[in-house]
Amino acid sequence: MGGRTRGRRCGLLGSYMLTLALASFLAVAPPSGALRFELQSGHTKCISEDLKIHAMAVGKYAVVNPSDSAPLPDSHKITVRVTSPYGNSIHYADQVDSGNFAFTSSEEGDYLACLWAPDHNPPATMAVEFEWRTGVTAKDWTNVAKKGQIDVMELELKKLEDTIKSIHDEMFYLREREEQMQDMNRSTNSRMAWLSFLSLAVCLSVASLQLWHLKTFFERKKLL
Amino acid sequence: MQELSVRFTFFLASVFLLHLHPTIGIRFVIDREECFSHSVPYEGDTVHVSFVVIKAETPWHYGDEGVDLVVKDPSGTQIHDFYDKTSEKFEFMAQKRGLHRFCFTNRSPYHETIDFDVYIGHFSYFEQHAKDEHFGPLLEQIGKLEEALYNIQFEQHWLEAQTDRQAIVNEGMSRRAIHKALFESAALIGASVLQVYLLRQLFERKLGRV
Repeated sequence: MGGRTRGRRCGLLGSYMLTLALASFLAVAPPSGALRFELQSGHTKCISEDLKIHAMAVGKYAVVNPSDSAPLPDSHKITVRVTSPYGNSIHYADQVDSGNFAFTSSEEGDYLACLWAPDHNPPATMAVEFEWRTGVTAKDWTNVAKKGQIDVMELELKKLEDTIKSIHDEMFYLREREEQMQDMNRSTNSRMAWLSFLSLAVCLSVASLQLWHLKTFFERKKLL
Repeated sequence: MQELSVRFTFFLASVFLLHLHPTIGIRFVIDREECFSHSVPYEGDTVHVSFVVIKAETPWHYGDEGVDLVVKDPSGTQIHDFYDKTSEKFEFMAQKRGLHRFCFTNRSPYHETIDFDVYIGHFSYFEQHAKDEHFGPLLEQIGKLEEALYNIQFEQHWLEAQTDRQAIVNEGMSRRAIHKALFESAALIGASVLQVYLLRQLFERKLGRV
């Protein structure tokens, strides 16, 4: 009796994993959560994202095919370069129509993803789908599920836990920034007070210098 | 038969939950005009949009340069427009599914860095159909929780962008205070030297003549 139910449970779990895999494939195939923008030939468009240290980032880009039946023409190819805030090139792809990149940030700052389309006569405009996910959303949850044989509920709850943790971290970061700004405002305030005293002092000293100089000048010329 | 329907609902739930995309939050530099499109998968979804102008590359880094935003739905009709705003956060219910366009127009002659964020909330639609689809109640609650968390992340992203903007404004203000004081002192010294020089010239001329 126990053996029979165990066998049935194993079969059920297997079928659940299959459906999960199928669902994740559907979710992964087109970048449906992506942003679409137009790129003219010869022009560059850059998108930046502020990343903290050791943050995971995953990106996907694809040129949208204007016609469903014909293949993408050769003129509709783009060059993509992703650079770190200090200028190191993280990802470079030349003359491709789709691709993806993934990295873990080693420096904190603005990461730039630049896409440009080569010059073409007549100038063509192509629509590009671009998606950039960082932090929690960058994790490949289907791999996590496969590794641990976890069911969907636990997977979703793990995802929630990671999301909450990232919200908490962001809140700490915002608090730090708030404190920095308060310090800066305080220093600006005191600086303005000191500088206005300085201005006043300069004014008075310059006026007295003038008076002294003119007095000696007139005394020299025997007018006073 | 029951197991098949359970498996089917499980499949639907996982497709649904895996498709719940969080915010997209990007920063870009706008020259004159910039347009973005984002697909709204279901009719009746709540679309939350926010944008903040982080900095404008004016020579003296002052002023409240804003941008215009026009939101159009897939058929081209205008849903929302905002004129000359530096920061805005709003939401609307999508009447149609498909590609919605968000077009920014730069008001000032300088380049501006804009932080733009879009978040699509599904659950308002989901609730109406939950009773029909018999989703497991636990999964439904988890989905709602996830949605609320993504909403919080969306708000937080906007707050972060506003903080960045204020930090840049404050730094500019601090720098400008010092520049102003130095310039003022230099102007005072220059003016007094000029005064003394002119008076001496005047009296020397008069004395020379006499």
